[in-house]
Amino acid sequence: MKEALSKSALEFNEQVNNSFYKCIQCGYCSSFCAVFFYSEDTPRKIIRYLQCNDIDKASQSPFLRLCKQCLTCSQVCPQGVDVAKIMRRLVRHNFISCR
Amino acid sequence: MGLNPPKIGLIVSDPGDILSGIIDLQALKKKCEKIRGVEHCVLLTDFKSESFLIAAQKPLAEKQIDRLIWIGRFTVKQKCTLEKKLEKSGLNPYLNEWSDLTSQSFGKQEASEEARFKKALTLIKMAVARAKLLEPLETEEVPNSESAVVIGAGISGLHAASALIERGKQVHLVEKESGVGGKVGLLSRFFPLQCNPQCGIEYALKSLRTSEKLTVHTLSKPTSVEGTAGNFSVSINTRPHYVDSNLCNGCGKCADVCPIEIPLWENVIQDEPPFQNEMGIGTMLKETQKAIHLPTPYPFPETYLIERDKCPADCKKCLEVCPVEAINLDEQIDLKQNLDAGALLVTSGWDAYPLSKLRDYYGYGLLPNIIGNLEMEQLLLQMTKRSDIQLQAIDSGPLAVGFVQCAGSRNKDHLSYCSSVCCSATIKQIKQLKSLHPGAKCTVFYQDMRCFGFDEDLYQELKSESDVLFVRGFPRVNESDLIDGKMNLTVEDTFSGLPVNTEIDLLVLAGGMQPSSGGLEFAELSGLPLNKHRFFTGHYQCYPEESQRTGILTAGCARGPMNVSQSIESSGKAAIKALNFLESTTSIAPTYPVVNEAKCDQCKRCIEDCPYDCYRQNEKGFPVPDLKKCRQCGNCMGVCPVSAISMNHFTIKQLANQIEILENSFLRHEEPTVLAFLCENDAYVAACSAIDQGLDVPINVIQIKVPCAGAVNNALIADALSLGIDGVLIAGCKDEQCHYVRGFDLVQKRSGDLGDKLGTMMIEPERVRSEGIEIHESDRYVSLLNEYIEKLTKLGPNPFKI
Repeated sequence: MKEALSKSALEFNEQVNNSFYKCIQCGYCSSFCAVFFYSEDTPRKIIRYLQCNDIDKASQSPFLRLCKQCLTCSQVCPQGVDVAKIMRRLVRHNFISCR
Repeated sequence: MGLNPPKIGLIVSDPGDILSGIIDLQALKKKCEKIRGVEHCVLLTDFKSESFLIAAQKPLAEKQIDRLIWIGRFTVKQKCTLEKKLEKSGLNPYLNEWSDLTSQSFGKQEASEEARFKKALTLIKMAVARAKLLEPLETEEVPNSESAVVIGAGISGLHAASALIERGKQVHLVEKESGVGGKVGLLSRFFPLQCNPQCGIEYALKSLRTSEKLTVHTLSKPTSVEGTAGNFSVSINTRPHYVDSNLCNGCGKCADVCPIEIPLWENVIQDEPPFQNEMGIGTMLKETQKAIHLPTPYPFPETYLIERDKCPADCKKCLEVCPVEAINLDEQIDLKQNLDAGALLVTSGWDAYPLSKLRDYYGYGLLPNIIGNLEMEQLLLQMTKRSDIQLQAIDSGPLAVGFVQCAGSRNKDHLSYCSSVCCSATIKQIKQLKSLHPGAKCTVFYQDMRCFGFDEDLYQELKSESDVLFVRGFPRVNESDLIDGKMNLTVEDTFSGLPVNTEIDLLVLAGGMQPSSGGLEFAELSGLPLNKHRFFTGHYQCYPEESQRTGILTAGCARGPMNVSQSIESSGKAAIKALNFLESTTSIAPTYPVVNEAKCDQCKRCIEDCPYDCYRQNEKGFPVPDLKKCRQCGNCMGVCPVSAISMNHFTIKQLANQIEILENSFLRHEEPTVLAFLCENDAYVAACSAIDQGLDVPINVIQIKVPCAGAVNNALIADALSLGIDGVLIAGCKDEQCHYVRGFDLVQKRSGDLGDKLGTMMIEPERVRSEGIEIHESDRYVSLLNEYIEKLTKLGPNPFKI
């Protein structure tokens, strides 16, 4: 599956150490998120998009604009995934690819 | 050997014509007869077991043969019967040498007739070299104590004790609480049958109640463990009961007059954080008991005891009313006693994970209606006992109860493992709750429902009910969610991706199991190894009941999360194993390690590296193995830097003499010879089956069976290389699969030292290789050998080769 990834996507995965593959989709991050019910996407869904190698869908999600970087998601994650960092990097990824 | 050199008899048996297809046996026989020490050589033509016996007995009687070498393939059963029968004719069983030529490779196509013949002769010479050094050995009998100490009187401890008592053994049951039953005594129902655990405990107690062989020590803790398997001495410390258990008849008059009432839940479990939660269980459980009461959790032994710290100093009401004068309020001193035991059974069980650590997640301890799953069990138990305890919905609507699974489990910051019973326990609780409150609405927040085996039926049954909702996702609880006494939870349903709002009257957190504090204390004072989750550990698959210390066995949740039926099964297995140490004597195979005090420099490496901790220093400072603890793996023999330790029947000297024969290679000068030390559990079996399967095992290799890869001493490897052998292969079990815990780890640890030594000898370190080979990896063994031999050919012959 990894061969299908574009160069920029591979770069992104490296930046976050492929940590999102550890995610078990338990939904802690979403339930503890202060803003998730304002958006159709949730942190969990965005990570799922990344696991399915759909980085475009992940980086263009409207949720990213809502994220306040309160870091609660990173704290509660039982698998130790730094969710907030992934959100941060996605915003940057989107910015670079638009440019 | 002394004045009379050993007289060796050779018996060659080739029932399947395997050997005669490869080598000229008649010519081999002629050569063998000329080997020094061989007095008799016979080629068998009749392959019935009786003719084996006759062939062996004849030279024993006629030629005063005192050692026998059997060449060819014999089954284990044949070997045993022959050894036993020959013992009657005066040949010690340890004077038989079995050399299975068919399990050594003779190459397939390219190997020349001459090389095959030379290899066979070399192998026979090696057997003769070893046979010359064989010594007669006798099985030893060591006396044992015939009583057992069981630590922890939970359901596993009770079942283990009753199993031992049924076999007529004396049992001391040591329990830190006032009564037996442990955690099972706190449950309201067993799954899957939904029966009452009290009845299960009563069943376990059936044989214990009437037995005179049982001594129960409640309010007691072990303080030290001395001695070894067969002869342990455990000292225990018993807190005062203030009631003489020999006099008390359990009439209960004292409890009638006692003025002090204490909440029952406080008494049931005292020292674990979740149960100090007065906000939760305390407000719901109204039941109390007197300061003088029957033992809890389960009233056995049936004598009263007093919680002296709770009762006023000058109150003597119970003393006045007692008809048998059993009460002594001034009993102050802890009772200390020593128990002798042949075996120890550790059934120390589990503690509930302290849910107060989850305050940030679920607000445990902040709100009265957030409770743990053990508290829920107590609540359900009280509800079945008394009709006045009822759960109330906060408004007039139906009762809504939420269950959070994996609370603190499968989480890197809390318990990283799955406790395996909580999912089924929640299902069980919902079933019972629905029988008590038919209209209750239940919501289960989960990550994965892990209902093992037949518990799945209960899950499917509940799933089909409309008022039980399973939501995959976890809620967050904080104080601001509390609206009019109800909790309003928001959770992402991870299937639909949508937020779900639920109102909950009672939230039950399914906390996991952690090792019990008593178990950890015992581990510290007895030095038992724990696994990374701090449970007791043996070999997980092959002998889970053992604790890496011979004679100390573990059962139940002391070795990991288990449900009740698994705990009971495990205690049966542990009790059976314990029986070995409770016979009047233990027989010890004489193949144990012996320390040569003339060579030993007291470096203590053996004491450090023995996986079973069986070495102690004697008064002169020399290490002495404890034969009962010893599992005869030979790791001490391998680790000794001055090769002062030898296993009987597998001595360093025997091995060295065998290796010496290889000085003259059976191959041409430029062809490399490889000496392979193979662990008998895995690698040797793989090698033999490679030959049986007809794989092309190169002729270059000579295979020697060792009890564990860790038993191969560096001195032997250096010896072999300095004699001109081109390569040495050590093959054992793969990482962490070793039956003796860490034999292969030790090999790899030592290979560094060996590299330096070989460097000074001007031998390339890559001539020595260590590999992990599994029992079915015959193919890999062959390809590995081929690749290794290719590499050795490139390196060129060993500089020491003649």
